Parts: sequence; structure tokens; C-alpha cells
Amino acid sequence: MRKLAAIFIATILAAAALLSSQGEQARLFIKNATIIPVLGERIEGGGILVEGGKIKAVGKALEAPADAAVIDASGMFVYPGFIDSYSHFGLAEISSIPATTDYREIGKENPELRVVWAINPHSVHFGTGRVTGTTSALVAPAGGTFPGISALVRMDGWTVPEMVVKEAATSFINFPMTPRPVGEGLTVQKEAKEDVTSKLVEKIRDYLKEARRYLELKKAAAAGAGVVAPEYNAKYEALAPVLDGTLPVIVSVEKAKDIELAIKFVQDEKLKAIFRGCAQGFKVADKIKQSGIPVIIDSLYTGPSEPEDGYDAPYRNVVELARAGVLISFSSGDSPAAGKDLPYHAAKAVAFGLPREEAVKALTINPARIFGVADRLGSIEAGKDADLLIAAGDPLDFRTEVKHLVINGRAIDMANWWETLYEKFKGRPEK
Amino acid sequence: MPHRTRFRLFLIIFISLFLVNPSLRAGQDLHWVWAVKDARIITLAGPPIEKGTLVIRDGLIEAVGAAVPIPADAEVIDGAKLTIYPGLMDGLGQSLLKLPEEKLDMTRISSGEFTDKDRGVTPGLNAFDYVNLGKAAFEKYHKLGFTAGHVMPDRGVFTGRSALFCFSDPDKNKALLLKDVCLGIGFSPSNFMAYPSSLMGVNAYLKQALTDAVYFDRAMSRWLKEMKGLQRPEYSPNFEALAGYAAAAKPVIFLCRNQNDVRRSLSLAAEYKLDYFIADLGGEAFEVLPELKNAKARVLCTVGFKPPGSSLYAQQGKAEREKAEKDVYPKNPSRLADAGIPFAFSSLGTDDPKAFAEGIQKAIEAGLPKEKALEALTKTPAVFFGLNRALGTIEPGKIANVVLAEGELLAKEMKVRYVFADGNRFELKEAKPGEGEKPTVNVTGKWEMTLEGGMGMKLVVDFVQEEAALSGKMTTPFGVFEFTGGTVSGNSISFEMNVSVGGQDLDLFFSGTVEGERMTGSAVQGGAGTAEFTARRIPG
Amino acid sequence: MKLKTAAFGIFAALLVIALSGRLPAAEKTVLLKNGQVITVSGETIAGGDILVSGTKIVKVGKGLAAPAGAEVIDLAGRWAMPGIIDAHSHIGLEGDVNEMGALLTPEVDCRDVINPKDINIFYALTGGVTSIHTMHGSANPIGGKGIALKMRWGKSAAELVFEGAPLTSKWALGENPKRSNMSGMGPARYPRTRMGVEESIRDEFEKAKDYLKEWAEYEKKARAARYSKGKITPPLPPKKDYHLEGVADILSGKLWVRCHAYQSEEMLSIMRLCREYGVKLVCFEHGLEGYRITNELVQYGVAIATFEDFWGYKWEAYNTMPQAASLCAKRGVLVAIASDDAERMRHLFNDAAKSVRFGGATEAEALRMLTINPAKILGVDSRVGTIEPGKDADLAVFNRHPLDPFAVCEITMVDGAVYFDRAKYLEERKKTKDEAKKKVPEKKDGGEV
Repeated sequence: MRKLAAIFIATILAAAALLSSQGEQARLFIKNATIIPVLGERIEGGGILVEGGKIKAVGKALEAPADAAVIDASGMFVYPGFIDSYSHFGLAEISSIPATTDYREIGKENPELRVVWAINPHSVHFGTGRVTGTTSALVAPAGGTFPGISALVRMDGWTVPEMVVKEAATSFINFPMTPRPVGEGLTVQKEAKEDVTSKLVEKIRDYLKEARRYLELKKAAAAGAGVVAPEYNAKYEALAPVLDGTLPVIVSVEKAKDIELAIKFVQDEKLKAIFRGCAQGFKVADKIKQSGIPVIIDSLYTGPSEPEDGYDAPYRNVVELARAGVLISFSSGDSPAAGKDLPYHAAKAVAFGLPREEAVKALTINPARIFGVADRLGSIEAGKDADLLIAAGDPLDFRTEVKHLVINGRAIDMANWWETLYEKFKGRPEK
Repeated sequence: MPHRTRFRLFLIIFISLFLVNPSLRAGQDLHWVWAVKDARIITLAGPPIEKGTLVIRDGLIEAVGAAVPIPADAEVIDGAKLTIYPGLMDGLGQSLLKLPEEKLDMTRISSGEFTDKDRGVTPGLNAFDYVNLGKAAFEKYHKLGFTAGHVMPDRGVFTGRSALFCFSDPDKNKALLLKDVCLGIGFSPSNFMAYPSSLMGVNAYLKQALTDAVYFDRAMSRWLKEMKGLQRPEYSPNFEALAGYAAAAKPVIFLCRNQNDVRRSLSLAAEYKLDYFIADLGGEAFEVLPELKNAKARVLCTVGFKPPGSSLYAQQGKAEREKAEKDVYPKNPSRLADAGIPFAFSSLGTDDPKAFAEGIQKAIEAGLPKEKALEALTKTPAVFFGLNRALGTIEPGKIANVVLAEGELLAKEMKVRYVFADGNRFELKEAKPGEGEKPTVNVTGKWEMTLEGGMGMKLVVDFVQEEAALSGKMTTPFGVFEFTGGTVSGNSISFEMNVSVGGQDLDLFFSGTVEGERMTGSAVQGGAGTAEFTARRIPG
Repeated sequence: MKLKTAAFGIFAALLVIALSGRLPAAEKTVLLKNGQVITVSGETIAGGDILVSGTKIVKVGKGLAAPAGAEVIDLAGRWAMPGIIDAHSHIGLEGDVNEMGALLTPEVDCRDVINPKDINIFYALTGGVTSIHTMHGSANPIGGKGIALKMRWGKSAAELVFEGAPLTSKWALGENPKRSNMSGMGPARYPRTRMGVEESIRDEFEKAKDYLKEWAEYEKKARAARYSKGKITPPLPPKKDYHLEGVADILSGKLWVRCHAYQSEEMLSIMRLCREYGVKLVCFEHGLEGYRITNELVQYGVAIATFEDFWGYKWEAYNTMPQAASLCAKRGVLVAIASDDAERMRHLFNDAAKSVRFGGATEAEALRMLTINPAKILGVDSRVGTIEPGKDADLAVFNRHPLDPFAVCEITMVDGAVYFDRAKYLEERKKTKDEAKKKVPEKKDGGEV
């Protein structure tokens, strides 16, 4: 009898614990913070109430409810969590070991591949990549001309479905690049005698034409009229939303001439495009602005596209594009191991003339707009998802520590691989 | 048969054989005495002779002057409209060289078994063995006034030995002037991971090799002299080949791709006490004038005038590079002349004699006095290679290498009418009007192509040309790939193909120009870069 | 008496000649005034001045007077620090930085292939870098010799050499010499394991010792032959071998060894090897697991020239953290932050700032990692690394504190001469652009600066 009672009590306690743990996540209150909502005025000594994964309320005169877990953010700054506009988080652990990398499939045309099938939610780089305030990222495939479909994911979750904000965020077209006329090393490469880029663009157009043809036939066959349906083609199927403009497509371009070609291309093909890179964008900034195409800035750990662009070309490019009114956002680039550097690229652009507020927008509301999730992310407003960073200083400053991260309404455990090693080895006795 | 009849028969047979079979006597050359009268003669051994006569006999200059009598047995050329110059000499070239075709054994390479050839160590490779003389080859040179040239293999680190030829006879034994003249030293690392595979490795290797060659020579002579109680040194064909040059008995030619190589060469020459020439392939000798002057260096000056990739101009973008190619580098020869550094012109870096001549014209336009240009093509190379008693000027007793031209030599409007080389007369006809869009070449057949930077990989291309349409396939170590398109226009060709390698799909575009058996051009891979290629037709 | 006067006269004459040789005809002086002077050797001087004469810093303080004819640079409150020293670089070299044709290549010398026209030398200046150590790559357990250079952009190869800097030998352990990440390139080659890498170094040491013995014996026999007056035949000397002489220079300590290594066990093992042979192992390159063996690094006196946060690109770079540099420094290891890359070299000051957040280095310690620490590793700390009188005038001026995220390098000075001036650079660019616009008025660019 006693044993039974013991079991019964244990069960009830366990259930209570379960309930209360769910209750723990239900409400969170951040107090005494300097809040930078991005859309709206800065709030000194303000509070944020988080409930059910959402921002319930933001304001100066807010009180913490009794049952809420409280984060005292005195002396700290709260921003919307940063959004990384291009990464391979979860698709690569150690780049030199092929068994650990999954972002680059073989072949030129793979528009149907979805990264959500392959992201490892427990990749070491999620933990280390978010320490500077990134709460969500676009995880992208690479390689070939049509590498596949990216996903917008949160930087924390037990499984990929728990992390997904948008399972199919964008498709990709890797535009051909006009090779550099000046070589490195001792040999000077000659300029290509032919316009190779245009030829390759033609090939891409032809492929899209084939896809359209397939979709037309399929439509006609479904409508009856005695048309034979074509054999199923996963690639052309995957291009359907790209061709009707419902799925945006990221086009990587570098040189000014190629950017102009790409603008014409996406307009001709009626695609909803986002540019990535645009290293020589500053030369054609007005044209990019006119086209309405936003630009994802690649990692700024790079030199000029051509020496005559100037040693500071990568940075002044960002400044010029922003000045011309182009919608820009920042990304950490190809290496998930360098994921934490996202805000540092923004800082570099600020150093060379980008207004700081613009830089913060390019880390928050701009990418949210670009990826069509501005109703959920990118600013601290009631009703939006609670993705927040709480930093002990300016989050664009290398020296600042982000003390707390709230992702999807939960204050997450910021433990990561680096901390594990640091804790262990700083404990070794010194001789 | 009666006695007298038998003898008469014998006589008839003997005489008929004699008459009918001239090969019993060596082919008789009936043109061994020439006189060119009433011509303007630039002898370079004195003031120009405004109206004079040149007499050639048995391949040598017999007489030259204003009042030279014309021998009775001479064939006479009216030189009224002509000017006679000493024949020009190409100070260093390799367009007449046809090096052996190499079948690359990829299995051997990938297993790491490297030969000396892979490393670029071929000091025994002799230009004499691989020279390709012939009427077509000569005509290209004769048209521009050249009657002699210096040929040397130029691949690798110890590239081989040079030879000097008159452009007079397809038989190289007859055309040869001097053999084993210079040893070529280059700074190009091997295309494979064979030592030396880096520029630093080449430097270290050269120092060690030159030291070893001298050591080997001393050890060998000592052993041969004494033998008793001494270890005999291990034989090395490379060291044997190097010994003479390392001991400064004969000169080396440093093939310098840029000014850094020039300085390196001067330093090596000083340290190892070498007799040397600087072949200024990069055209940057003007950056090293004081050092060249102090070292009393002799230079072989090229006229391609393209800034090397290591130069600042090349690194600062297309505009800078083209500006330098137009304004800076063509001044190189005139700056050498101003600094009093002796130099001869070399055709290395130009595709053919025509481009060579155009380059020299550019140098003159950029400020090199015409007389200096002429000297760099006549007297200076003769002196450099020890042939000044036989060539370089028009003087009695010297080899009859002369050019008879309308107009001034090296000028754009110049027309060469006759060329004498070793006293053999060559008449040059007018060039046909220029080609149009129609193909002027037919490349049908097998060609062996080398891609620059392509790890020395040799590719075999099978062309099939029908009028202007070009199709074919390329055989590579990774497979055989068909062309997806191609055209021929004039002497230009272009073709494209799609190559699948290691999971990568590459689109390649080739375009080039064809000159006889040789093709040069560039290959472009969309998105990655360009690479130069050369191709040679595979005979048979 | 006469002799003494004569001797004195000669002595005086010699003294005058010696002194006149030392004093250049017209020493250029520069006064950098009114800046935040980060001396590194001591406190930062607010509103400080630096007086430069010729190539040297002559005075550091406040309210210094400008000598007649001095050029005055108004720092206007900007930050001046000692020029950044990049201890691990491969710029300024021609051709491949690795000699891959042989396993060990101590005969190869970077000094032979300095390319003074490499534009990366200019890029270094834009990042406040005034000297570097450029060297052989990491393909070989014993690679070639490296060289320290000053970023005197525009000068010849010989003039770029940092005169007096010790010569170095580059070693490499781990995945690169093992060719672990090069599948398909060439045949299987020894060594494949870290044990094999170390053994190949040991083997070469022994070969060099034998070579030196051979020469010593030859010297003995040659001497004997000389004194025998022809009775003993003079022996033939052994063949001069540059390769083994390179190794001998390592054994004698003439070459300072800079060893590329990642994992703690290979570093520990090689330190013991070097102790055994008396080799001067100065620094581990990268040493990303150095934080695991700080006690030993301090005990053996070996420094690390490391990345602040470049990691995870291969297995041996995985077990590390951005806190490593700070942790090592806190525990007494001499730490320099280096680039190994022409692009990273341009923002080393940003990397140093990261060590403040990761591992809690002080700002002073972070700045030392860019200046006096690499100077010590290069053996040139008597010449550079701090702003003190008597040191070379190698300075970098930033518009904000160099560890500030928005800092931009504006002036870089080497040996008292300004080699990079951002204001002038922007002016030139504007001028060129305006001229180009004049020539082609119809052509319109999108908003260019």
C-alpha cells in the first residue's frame, strides 16, 4: 500500500513538474532594459513581456507578472535577434571532411533539393554562431547553377521542424561570372575573346523555358483536351513557384556588367529576385535601386573584386548601395564556423560610412522584409515572435557580450562547444 | 668483238652514264657568283655607299665598294631601287624548334616517379637535334630581312643547349653556324609536384646544381689524373653537361620572366662566376639598369612588351596594364641603349617573325634610334656569340648574308626583294591580298594541345573542318569530349564543349589563331578564368 | 711627443669620419602632435606627441616642440599605436609558397623570391601593419627559410628586408605534411602519421650531424696534408650540400624555428625533441590547442602566433575556441595574433578586439598581441613593437581606438616615412574619377564616391 502511495505521489509530482516547466516557458519578462525596437523609438528603462512565444507587450511602464521568469537587463540593451541572410549552419561541421558536409550536391541542376532534409539541428555551429546575437538564419544550398531551396530557421530547437520559420524560403540561381581580366601570380590572363557570360545565361534561359513548357503541358493535360501529360520531372516542378514569382530566387552576381545582365534577366523571366554579393554594385547602384531588387551582402572578409575598385571597395560598396536606397541585409557567408561574425560585418560597413541605424536595420527588419517574414520578425513589437538579444553593450562591438538570447519566446541555454572547452581547460592547475 | 670496238663501247657507256646520271657527281650548284650593281649599300663597317656593287662568291663576300668590277662569271642583279643591308640575326628564338612530342604517362606521374625531364632538368637537350628548317620557315624570316638565328629550348630549369643557324639550307648540317653555344637557365618550376616545384625550390636547386657540377668536374679530373687512393666520383650525365658552363668556359642564358629574375640571375652569376647573357623575357630590364651596368651584363632584349603578372601594372587592373604596354615597356630597348648596356634583339615572346618585326618597330617608335636597332640585329649578336669575324657587317671575307630591300629596313613599308644566306639567293614574291571571312586554314586532323597551368597535361584534339564549320573531339585523361560547336574564320578558330569532371560540370570555350602547324589561343571556363593554350599538329 | 700628437690626430680624424657617417646629411623630422598615444610599453598618453627624426622615434610626451623644418602631422585627437606586426604571413613572395617536390626542403629560401611589387604589401599598410614575417608554407615537416620584411612599399626587394632580424626555419606538423586533406593528389607518401612527421625531422638531424662530422674530418686531414709538405695527398673535400647545411643551421641555433602545429600532443612532443637537440624553437604557428598545454609552453619558453577565431576548417582545428588566445596570455604564454592570409592581415586589430570578449583579455594585453609580442617572436623587439624613444618610427594612426569596432586606419608610417595616408588616397581617387568624367561626360555611373 505504501509503495503504491509512493508511486502515486511521485507521478503527481512529476506531472506537476511537467506542468510547471511548461508554465516556466509560458511567460518571460525582461526588465530595466534599454530597448531598440528598430521600428519605433528607443525605450530607456523599459520592459518586454513574452508569452506563448510572442512579444505580448513592450513599453516603459510595464510590470513583471508574478508567474513570469524575470531577466534583469539593467545596463543592457535589447535588440531584435539578428537575422543572418545566408549561411550553411547545420550543413557543415568540418569543411575539409566531406562526410560532415552536406551543402553542395553534384550536378548543375538541383532546384528541387531542400536543405530542411539535411540540416543538423545540433551542429556545433548553431551554438557558437549565435553567441553574438543571431537568432535566425537563412540556411542555403550551394554549387551548380540551381543548387536548391533554402530555409529560414531559428538558431535553436530540438528538431528541424521546431526550428523552421520558413521551410522553403528561397530558390537560387548562380549566375555565371565574367572572369577577372588580370591574373594573380606571374602569368597575366588574357581577356576572354568571347562573351562567355551571355552564352551561359542563354543556357539558363533555355532551361527555364523547358520548365515552363513542362508546366504548360501539365496544366493542359489536367484540363483534359486530349493532351498527354508529361512524365514527372521533380526539377521542373520545383521551378514552378520560381517562375510564377511566388518563391523568391537568390541570384549571386559580382561584377557590374554581370549585375546589369542579371537585372535584365530577372525582369525578362519575371522572377522575384534577391541579389547576393554585388561586389561591384556601387558602380550600378541606381540601376539596382530602380529594379527594386534587394541585395544580400556577403561576408566582408574579402578584398576588392578588381584592384582598381580600391582597397576599401567591399565596404564602400555597402555604403553606396544603402545611400542609393537599395534594401540591403548582411550575411555571414559560406563558413558556419565564422557565423558569429555577422554583426562584425555590419560594424565594418559602419566604420566606412554606413549610418549605424541602417546597419542595425540590415541585421533585423531588412532581412525579415526580404524573406517575407516581417509580420513575425525583425523588430520588437507586440504580436511579433519573441526573438531577442540582450547585450551588455553595443552588439556591433567585438568587446560586447550577449548575455541572453530569447528564441521563440524561450530564454535559451547559451552553452556551446567553446564554453565547454574553456570551462574545462581554464581549470587545469598552473604549475 | 674486235678490241677497238669493245673499247669504243666501253667509252660510249661510260660517257652516257656520266651524262645521263648527274647524281654520280654531287648536284652541281650553278649559282655561286653574284653581283649586285648600282645599289645603296649599308655595310655597317664604314659610311653607307650611295651607289656601289657587291660581289658574292662561294658563299662569302668577295668585294664591296663604289667602284668594284663585276666578274665575268657573275649573275647580275640590278640594285638601282634597292638598298643592301647585312642580314639580320635573331638573337634568341625558338620558333624553328620542334621539340619531341611527349606522351604523358599519367600513371607514372601520379605514382610520383618523376624523370629529370618532368623536373625541367634537361641540360643535354640540344637545339641542333630538334631544329626544323625548311623553305616555309625561312620565308617567314627572309621576308623581314633575317638570315640567321639563335635557337634554344626554353622549357624548365636547365633548358638545353643552343645552336646558331644560317637560314640558308634545309639541311641543318649545312645551315649550322655553331653548336652547343649557350646553356639555358630558366626559373619555371615543374608542372607536377616534382622537385623543384616552386620558384624558391628552383633557386635552391640551381645553387646546388652549379656547386655540384663544379665539384663533379674537379673530382673527376682529379681521379683521372691520380686514380690511386681516391674514390671515383659517381657519374652524372647532367653534371657532365653542366660542367663546361658552370666553369665559365661557355656562357649561360638566363631566361628572366621579370625584373626579379634579372636580379636573381645577376646574383647567381656573380656567386658562381658564370659567363652569361640575360634574356629579358619580361621586358623589365629598364628597372634594373644600374645593376646591369655595374655587372657589365649583356642582354637579349624581347619585344612582346606585355607587363609581366608580377609587375604593379598588371596587378592594378586592365587600364593600367594596357597603358604600360603602350607607354612604358616599349621604351625598354631605348633605355638600355641610353644606359650603354649592350643588347641584341630576341624573338622570344612573339608568335612569329612578323610580330617580332612589329615589336622592333614599336621600339623604334618609342625612341630607340634606328641605327641602334640595326646594330642590335647585326653586329651585336655577332659579337655576343663569337661570330663577328664571319657576320654582322658587309665586308670582304665575311659570310654572304645580306638583304636586298626596297625602302628602309625595319620600316613598315619595307619590301624585301632578295635575301642571300650563305651566298644562296632567295627571291621573295609579293604577298597576296589579305584574307577575308572565308577560312584560310584547314585544321582537320589530330593536334596536340598544351594548356598553360594545366599540370603539363597534354590533350589530343581531333578536328573535322568542313568549310567554316568545325566539329571534333578532345581526348583528355578524364575522358573524351565532343565539341558542342565550332567555327573557322580566316585563320581564327573557335569551339566549345562541356566537360564533366569529378562531379563538376564545366563549360569550356576555346578560341585561337592558326599559323601553319601551330595554334595559339585561350580557353575560357565560364565563371573561373582563362588559360592560354598552344597546339601543334601531330604529323602523320 | 710628435708620435702621440700624430696618433691623436689620426684618431680624431677617424672619429669625425665615423660620426659623419652616422649623421645623415639632412635628417627629416616629423612631429605627430595631439593624439592618443598608445605606447604599449607604458600608459596611453592623452593629448600626446611623438617626435620622429630620420627613421627613429626621438621623443614621446606632451607639448613637444617642433624643431625647425619639421613636418607636423596633426593627429587631432586620433589614436596612434606602434605599427602592427604580422608574425605569420605569405605575402610578398613570388611563386608557390610551398616546395612540394621533396619532403624536407631547408635549402629553400624565401629571401630568393621576394616580390616587392605584390600589392598585398600596400594592403598591409591600409590595415596598420608595418612589418611582417613572410615564410614557406606548411607542406613540409622542415620547410624553407623565412624572412622578416618591413612594409616599405615601393622599395626594392633588398630594401624590404628587415635588416638584423634573425633568420628562421619553418616547420610543419599535423594534417598538412601528412597530406590528410589531399586525397587524389599524388601517390601515398610517408609520413602518414604524426609519429612519422616527427621521425622525418629526427632523421634529418642525424644526417646533418653526420655531414658536419664529415667536414670536420676533412678539415683535420686537410690540415695534416698541409703540414706534411707534400708527403700526404690533400684529400678531396666532401660535396657541399645546401640541404644539410640548412639543417645544420637549425641545430646550431642560427635559425629560429617557427613550427606550424595544432594539436597539443604534437606540440609537446616536438618541444621535447627540440630540447633534446638544442634547437631554438621560438614559436608555434596557429597552435590552436595551445591552451591545453600552457604550463609546458611557459616552461619550454615557446610562444604562439595564432588566430583569434579562425577554426573548424579541419579536424585539428576543431578542438579550440576564441578564448584560447586570452587564456594562454593570462597564463603567461607569449601570444601574438597573426593572419596567415592577405585579407585577414588587413583587420588584425579587429581580431585582437575579439579577445577582450572571448576570454577576457585586457585591452592592453590585446594590443600587445599585435605589437610587442610578435616583435619578440621575430627577435626585433629592440627595434619595434612599442612607441619609445630609440625605436623605429613604425606607427599606425586610427580614427578611433584600434579596438573600437568602427576604427579605420588612416595613416601608416614606416621608418619615419608615411607610406599610407587615407585622406590622400581618397583625394587621388576623387581626382582620377573627376578627370575620367571630364573625358566621357555622357557616361554616367551609379553613385560613386
